Amino acid sequence: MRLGLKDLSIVAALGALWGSVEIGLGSLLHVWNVPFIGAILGTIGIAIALVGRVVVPKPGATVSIAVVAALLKALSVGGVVLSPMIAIVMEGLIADAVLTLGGRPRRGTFVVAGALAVVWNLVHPLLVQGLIFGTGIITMYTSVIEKGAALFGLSASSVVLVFVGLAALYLAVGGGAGLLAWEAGRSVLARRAVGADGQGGAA
Amino acid sequence: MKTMPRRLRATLGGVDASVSCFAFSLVIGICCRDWWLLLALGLALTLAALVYPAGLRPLTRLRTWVLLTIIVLSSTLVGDDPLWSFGPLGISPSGALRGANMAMRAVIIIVAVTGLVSSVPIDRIGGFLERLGLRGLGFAVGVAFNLLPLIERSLVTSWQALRLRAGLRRPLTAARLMLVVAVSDCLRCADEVTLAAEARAFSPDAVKRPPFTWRARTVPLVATLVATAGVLVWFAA
Repeated sequence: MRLGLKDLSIVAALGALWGSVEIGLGSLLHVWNVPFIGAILGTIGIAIALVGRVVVPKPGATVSIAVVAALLKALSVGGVVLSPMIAIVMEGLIADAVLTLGGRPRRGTFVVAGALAVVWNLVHPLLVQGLIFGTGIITMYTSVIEKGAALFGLSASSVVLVFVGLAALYLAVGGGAGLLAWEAGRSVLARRAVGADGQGGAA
Repeated sequence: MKTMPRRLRATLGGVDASVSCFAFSLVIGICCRDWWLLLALGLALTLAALVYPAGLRPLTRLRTWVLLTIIVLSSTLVGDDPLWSFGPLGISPSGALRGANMAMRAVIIIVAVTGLVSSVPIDRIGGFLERLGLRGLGFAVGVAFNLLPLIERSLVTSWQALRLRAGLRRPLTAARLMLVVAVSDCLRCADEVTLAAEARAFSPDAVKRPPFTWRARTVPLVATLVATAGVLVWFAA
């Protein structure tokens, strides 16, 4: 992966944009105790990183934007927030892998990249808790789900159904973010082309 | 730490010592069980107090203790073979033991990770990532850090302009417009940074990052940690 000076500046600026959303909006949502904060911030962030991939169509651009945003996230109120930092990098990595394997930039690959990156937010807490607490946490969650389902007269499979429903929702939202990023990225490129021709401002 | 001899303080103060203690804590935290894990916890906390005291900061937060209490309590209430049962819940000694194991392991890992991240500067992390193939990342992080206030101001201005012009009536169009405006502003900033860097003949290839070095004085510490980890893992297994 070789990014030139111009590409690196774009990566830095878009990483700062994602980082400022994480720090500013993230702190606000935490104070308001909004549910699914990770998914909301992840969707906005991945949309920014995917627009970055339209502007810098090189492998590694998306993950670099994510890494910059993750390092800026360390400046959040409350000190080092490792779990969100890992989530941000993983989202960037997944999106970058999909786009790199997908070949030429297309609307479809952006939709898939956005969907898979956002669905990571559903898996992430389980994985991080598994790493920190060990496999015992999975046993405990399984017991809690079985006993909780029995208490409310539900079958354990209905809990799985809720999980699958959530995954479908995350996939849809992420796919939407990918589509939005593709359209927005093309608009940004068109604006820059007009600006470069001297017919208008870049912004 | 101030009361320690100067040589010992210098040995424990380096990045190599932090990395060694981090690796040691992870290994003993993952491999030990039950009473051995309690011993590992004591060792990891002592090392943290000596090498990266900032790593102990999460233990001063109520949130951490609430989380650990919930883990131990839940595991006790839903564990296998309960001694006493109250409906679907019960008091399970094996569940309590499993919960205590999870909590101790969590404390070791949280302290080690927080300690490492707080004792290794961001430019060293940037340099490490550059060596992994993310070339120019140190430059990008520096630029991003400086652009942060500018971009935050620009975001707020764009948001207010969109709101005042009733742009939020159609949420999807508003989201697209907001994204385009925010990214365009960022690209304008990036263009200015590129021009300024080129005018100063800056090249990301020419930047030299300080290499990660193991100091000779850390070798006894590393040898002691490896031997201790070996003994602990051997007996715990």
